[in-house]
Amino acid sequence: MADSDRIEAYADALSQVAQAEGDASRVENELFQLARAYEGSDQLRDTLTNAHLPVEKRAQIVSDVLGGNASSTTVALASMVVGNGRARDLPGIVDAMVRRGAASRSHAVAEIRTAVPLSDDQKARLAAALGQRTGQEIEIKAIVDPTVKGGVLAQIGDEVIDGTVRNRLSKLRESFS
Amino acid sequence: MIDIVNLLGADAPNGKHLPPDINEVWWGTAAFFIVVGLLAWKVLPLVKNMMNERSEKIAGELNAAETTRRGAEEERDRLVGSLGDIGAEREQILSDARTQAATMKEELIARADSDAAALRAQVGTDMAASQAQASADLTSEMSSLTLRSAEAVVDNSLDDTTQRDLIESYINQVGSSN
Repeated sequence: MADSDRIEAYADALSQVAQAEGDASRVENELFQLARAYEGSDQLRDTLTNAHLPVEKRAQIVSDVLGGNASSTTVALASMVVGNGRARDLPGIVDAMVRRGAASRSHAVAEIRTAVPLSDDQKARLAAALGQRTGQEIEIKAIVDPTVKGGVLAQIGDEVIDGTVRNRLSKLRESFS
Repeated sequence: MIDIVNLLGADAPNGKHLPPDINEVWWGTAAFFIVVGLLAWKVLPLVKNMMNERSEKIAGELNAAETTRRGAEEERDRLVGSLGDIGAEREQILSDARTQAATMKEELIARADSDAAALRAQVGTDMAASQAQASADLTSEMSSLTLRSAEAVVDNSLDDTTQRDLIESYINQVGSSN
């Protein structure tokens, strides 16, 4: 089985479990946060992909990363992926799962990166603004990313709307070169 | 003459010119001719042979000397001719050497001129490249300093209010861009 097929199969399985547990949206959000944390931390990647660490130990680390407030379904699903030795595919599986969930609700996923956390009101107005622009119902998946310095970076599918300070500084740097 | 004969005969015992015994004259005469005949028969051929041999030897030596002289003259002529050839060859060698030296001189001058021109061009290129590099380095350094200053200013100005304003501005911009 190809990696993409395996990722889609895991995403499908996780979506079905989350929907069966009746808390799909929350599970998607928590797994999405975990996936972004995994991408942003070399230490977390090394730990979760270390086959010499017991599965229980890695599951505990997943729970700790989610802050102890995560649902048991989220912890169980993440532990299952990590325990099966698929930690390196975790971001891809979660992204596919989020896309599936949003698609099932006829929504598109907007991955939003900001330097500071967005309030619920900001998320709602941003989803509305992006919906107006794209003509789709938008689900916001917010990520706190200090590297953007300020402003907002939105990615909806292949479309990127970059209004970050990092992007403006980059353009300034290009204008000098 | 007669006086001399008479004077010689004056001392003879009989006072006459002839010997007293005529037989002595005859024997003496016969002995004389015998001796003369023997000399003519035996000695004269030997003397003639000796003379002929000597003449032939001298003639041979003269011929050998003549041959040697002619050989010497031929050798002299040959040497003189060789000296003439050597002189011509020397002139040819000198002429070739002068021609080669002139050609080599022209080539060296041309090569030196070419090298000098290439060196001048290279120096010009290097100077232009150095100036361009220095200008680029200066521009890059100024750009880097400007960017660092801008980033420092931005980092210091990004407080919570600014962050919120940036997010609100983005939301308004995205919403109005439809």
